Amino acid sequence: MAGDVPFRATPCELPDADSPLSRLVAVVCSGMATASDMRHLEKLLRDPEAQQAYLAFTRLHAELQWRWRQPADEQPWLGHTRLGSAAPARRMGGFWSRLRGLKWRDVAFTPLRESVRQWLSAAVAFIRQPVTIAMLVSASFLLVALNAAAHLRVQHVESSAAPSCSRGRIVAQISGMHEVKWRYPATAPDPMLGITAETILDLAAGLVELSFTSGAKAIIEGPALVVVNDTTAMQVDVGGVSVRYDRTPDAIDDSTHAKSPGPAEIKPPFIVRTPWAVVRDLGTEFGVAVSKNGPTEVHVFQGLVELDHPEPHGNARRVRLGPGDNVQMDGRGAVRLGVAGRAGRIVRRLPKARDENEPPDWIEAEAEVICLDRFHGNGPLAGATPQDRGGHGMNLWNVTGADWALADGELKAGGGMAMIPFIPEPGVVYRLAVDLQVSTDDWRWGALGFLNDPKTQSFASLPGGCAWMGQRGGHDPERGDNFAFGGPGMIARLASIDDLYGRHNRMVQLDTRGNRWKAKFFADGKEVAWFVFGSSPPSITFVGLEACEGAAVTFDNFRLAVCRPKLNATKW
Amino acid sequence: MPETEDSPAFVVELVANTRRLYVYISTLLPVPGEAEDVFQQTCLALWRKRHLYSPERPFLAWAYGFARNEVLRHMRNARSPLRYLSQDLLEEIASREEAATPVAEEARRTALDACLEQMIATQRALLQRCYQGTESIKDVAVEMRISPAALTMRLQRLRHALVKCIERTVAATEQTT
Repeated sequence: MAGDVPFRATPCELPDADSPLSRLVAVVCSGMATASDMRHLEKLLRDPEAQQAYLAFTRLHAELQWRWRQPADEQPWLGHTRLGSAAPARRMGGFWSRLRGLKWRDVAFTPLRESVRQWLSAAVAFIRQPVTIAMLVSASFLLVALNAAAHLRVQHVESSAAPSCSRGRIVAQISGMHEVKWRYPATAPDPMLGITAETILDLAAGLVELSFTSGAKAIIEGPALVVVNDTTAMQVDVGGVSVRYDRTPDAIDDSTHAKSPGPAEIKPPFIVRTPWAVVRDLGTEFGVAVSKNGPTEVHVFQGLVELDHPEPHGNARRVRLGPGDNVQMDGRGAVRLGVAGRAGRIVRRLPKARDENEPPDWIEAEAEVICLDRFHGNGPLAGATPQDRGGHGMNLWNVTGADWALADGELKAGGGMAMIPFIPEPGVVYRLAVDLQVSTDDWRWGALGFLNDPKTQSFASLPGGCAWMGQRGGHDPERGDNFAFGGPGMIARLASIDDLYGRHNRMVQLDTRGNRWKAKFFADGKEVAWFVFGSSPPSITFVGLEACEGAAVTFDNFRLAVCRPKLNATKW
Repeated sequence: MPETEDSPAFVVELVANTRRLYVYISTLLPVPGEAEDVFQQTCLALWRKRHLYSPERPFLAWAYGFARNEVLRHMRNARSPLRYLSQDLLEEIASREEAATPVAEEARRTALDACLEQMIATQRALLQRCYQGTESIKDVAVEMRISPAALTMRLQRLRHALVKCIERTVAATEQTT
């Protein structure tokens, strides 16, 4: 028999959860497969590996059906449990009942019938004994009493657990949305109604801000599939989520928390569950990114979180993460600490909605050009390269790297920076723009923006550029698409802002009106991201361009302009 | 061999292997509701032919033959979407499934218990609710305010996670033994 073969696990290479095979298994197991689906499946299953994966899924499906499925010919005399453990017994009950329906000549059942008859005769003779009757009556009373007690107990539990209204308990509210596209608009949650427990949010694109009744705020970055479990819990199947939770810490072993909270101030932790990790927020701000095919990432912006994740041998492991910590986990339970990834770039604030009555940031007719060079030889560089010209007017160019060249009316660079000293004045709006092209087809980039430290001389260094944006040569699944930074340091990095490659106009707008300066980032005239600085203005001292080492970058139509409109200061 | 002598051994084997037989049929017929009828037809066919069973033979291998015939018969007659799969392919899949050893199956089943335990309660509850078959996927999806397709994919993601967990757990068990 096959059982004599020594045990050997044969793990198969599973397709991605969103692969065609996986999708077809899903529709077959749900009974929603069409003829076209089955023909497609037939083709796929010609591959032995696909067969093995298909079997792994359908075998699991079969096991779950065995455990839980209630057969149609359910027998009323068999017990019913909510855990579904009676399902197999019911299934066999169906078989035995069918067997009873057969004619005796079809099923030679004589021996069993005779045995049952003899057993019944003996049982009747026993029951007729007076002692037996008394015992049976007592037992009946006892059973009735126990059953009634159990029934009352169940009723009590169920009534206390019942929701207050038929729609379910509201646990959160949609408090903001930005360019949202729901995957299934017909079933999208109504922002006017509250979000009830266990609501699924299937977001194709955009940002949704949820305000939980517990006080937590979460921003979901699409595409994402998220379940709102409770007032302090959500589950992220796919996508990015940033969570802010102002919770008085309990049991945090951190001496920096001088204030000892009273019992009334303690709130339960906010929990984010991902497919194979549980993140417990101990009063902080953090981001979680779960990719469809790749790893799950957790990044802590402030405070502390605890992370439970399974190890390869099946045990759960708990780690505590502090500010700036980043953890990456793959599906096999492997953990990499300190890997800067997508979670650190999760959107943490919703873009501010534009008020129709608010005056515009920029009025082109009132703008004044500070510096314009189309690199045809008649601009400030007068046909020279930044390192040769060494500046224009009172402003000397600062150059790093010697790979600058003028050709065909464009400025070309293969690594290095070209900067003009520039100190912004408060109360105005600046726009720095350039047509940018990176000819390599990889992650290398060209950039423009404002720089805060003359010694650093690189946008990417720490501390480096303030308000700068770049464009890559091509899509990079690890580093994301094109990018923008508000302040210095990786923490100021915004999420991937677009996937434009080739030649595009990139523009950084620096708004120095109001107490808090603001940066906006544009691609081909369209706003793609924004950033608000802290209460202290950044110490910007240069504007300029940069070409990443190894890139072949072309710049054209470099322009720095200022607008001093008679506008109200933007409130932030 | 007289019928009266072989029946007890047959019943013992049938009861002992009910789960494996059902899982085998349901693996070949994953469309909900289809495995139930075929399983019962298989049991009846086995009962009718029980006089042919010899306790010296491996019961399951013998029973799989009946089950495979019933599955193929069902696919030819039923309106099941599985009728679009070719018989060759189904037999290939069936042979693969029959090759699984009872020990490996038991290891997977134990691992499934552990993985279900590890699962988040709400995910497990959703899985159980959909597998009970008392509500259609559409009904559950409507109540959850999502599309049936979204629910279907959600269930598949859960299955995907479970299969990965099972494989990991089985591999870990194998290493320790």
